[in-house]
Amino acid sequence: MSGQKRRFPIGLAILTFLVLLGLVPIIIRYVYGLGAISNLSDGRPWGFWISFDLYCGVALAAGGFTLAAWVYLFHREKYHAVAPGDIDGIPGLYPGDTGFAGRPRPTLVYLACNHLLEYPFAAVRSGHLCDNLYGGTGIRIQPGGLRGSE
Amino acid sequence: MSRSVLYDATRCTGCRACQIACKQWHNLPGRPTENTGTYENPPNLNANNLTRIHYTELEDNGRFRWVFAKLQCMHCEHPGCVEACIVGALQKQENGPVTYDEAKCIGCRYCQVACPFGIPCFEWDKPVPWIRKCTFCADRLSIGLDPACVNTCPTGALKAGERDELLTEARARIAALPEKYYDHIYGEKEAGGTSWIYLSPVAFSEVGFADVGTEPVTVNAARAMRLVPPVLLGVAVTVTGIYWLTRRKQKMKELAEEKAKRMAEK
Repeated sequence: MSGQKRRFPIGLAILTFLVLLGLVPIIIRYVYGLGAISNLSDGRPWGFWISFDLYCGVALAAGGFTLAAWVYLFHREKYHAVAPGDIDGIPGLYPGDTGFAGRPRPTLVYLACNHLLEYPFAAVRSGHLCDNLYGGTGIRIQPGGLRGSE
Repeated sequence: MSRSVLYDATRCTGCRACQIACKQWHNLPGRPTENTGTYENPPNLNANNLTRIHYTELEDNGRFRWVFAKLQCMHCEHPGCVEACIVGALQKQENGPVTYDEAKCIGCRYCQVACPFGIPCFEWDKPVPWIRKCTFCADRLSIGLDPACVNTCPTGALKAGERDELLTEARARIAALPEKYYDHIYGEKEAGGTSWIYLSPVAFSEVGFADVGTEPVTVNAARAMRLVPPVLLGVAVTVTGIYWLTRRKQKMKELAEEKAKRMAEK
């Protein structure tokens, strides 16, 4: 037995600090609204986050998906070690997910009424969302993809 | 059966009674007056100001002249906000209004981006915010009343009625006094037609109205989105093909190696 106490890892300490730092604007947002923590306005309802998410989040995910395609579609087995995948039996989901994983979390704060988020998910399950996207009089505007449903 | 409102700027005196009536009917709080250098008050639409009178200051034969324009949701015939709304919170009603259901809204603000007139406003200071815009007093319409602003207008600048009847009347007004009116009905064809239509004594560009074209804003998006299913299918087929090919190549290679091995053993 070494009497040494196990130290709190420095990396984890930094990440914990960042999480606590991020909690402050989240609390302000749920007390004073989105206007208090962002510079958004009716004239500019979408700001930095959406472009950051679009260009960085998707770009990160794209690298993962390319790697997954290289390993699983083109059968370059020697790279299998860096794309272990096999989440839920879907090969290659994991590397792509490293880019996607960070995305829904800021969205929850960014979307105004996230307590209603169940609605689009329920709508997807019941097929209502597909009606909304492709049914009725025509196909719906979605220039940014399924952004609202995250 | 589509209710519509005709706003005749030549009859408007800028009294802003419509703004007050709107606030009263929707029970919205007032906004402290800020001096912004014009008589315009409030200076912009927001979640608590669903309509306002825009004051344009012009010089007409060396004399000062005001031209007014009432701004609110245009209640388009082909609304971009409705098409953009992913959860169907915004709906175009058969009798005219574009209504908003806050029980469905998830606050993504897509409608604000999609609106060609920049109308939907967001409650930036609320913990649980909603989108706010002119409702066309859909509740009043449903029991046969006119919108609150129309009801209160003392000069008859606002007139409610059926859309085609109002268009006929607007054309008749222009024909009767061609020197008084600018020969255009804003909203007749703008963005595919709107439920609120406008007459003005001067060109609409001078009053700050956007030239949004006559094509509904929904057309281009539909054109782009129509490509999604075939592209998706195409990608799936290509990717499956690549998977099959590379796997076959690998199998052939293994077979050839095995064969070579067997030959060597012999």
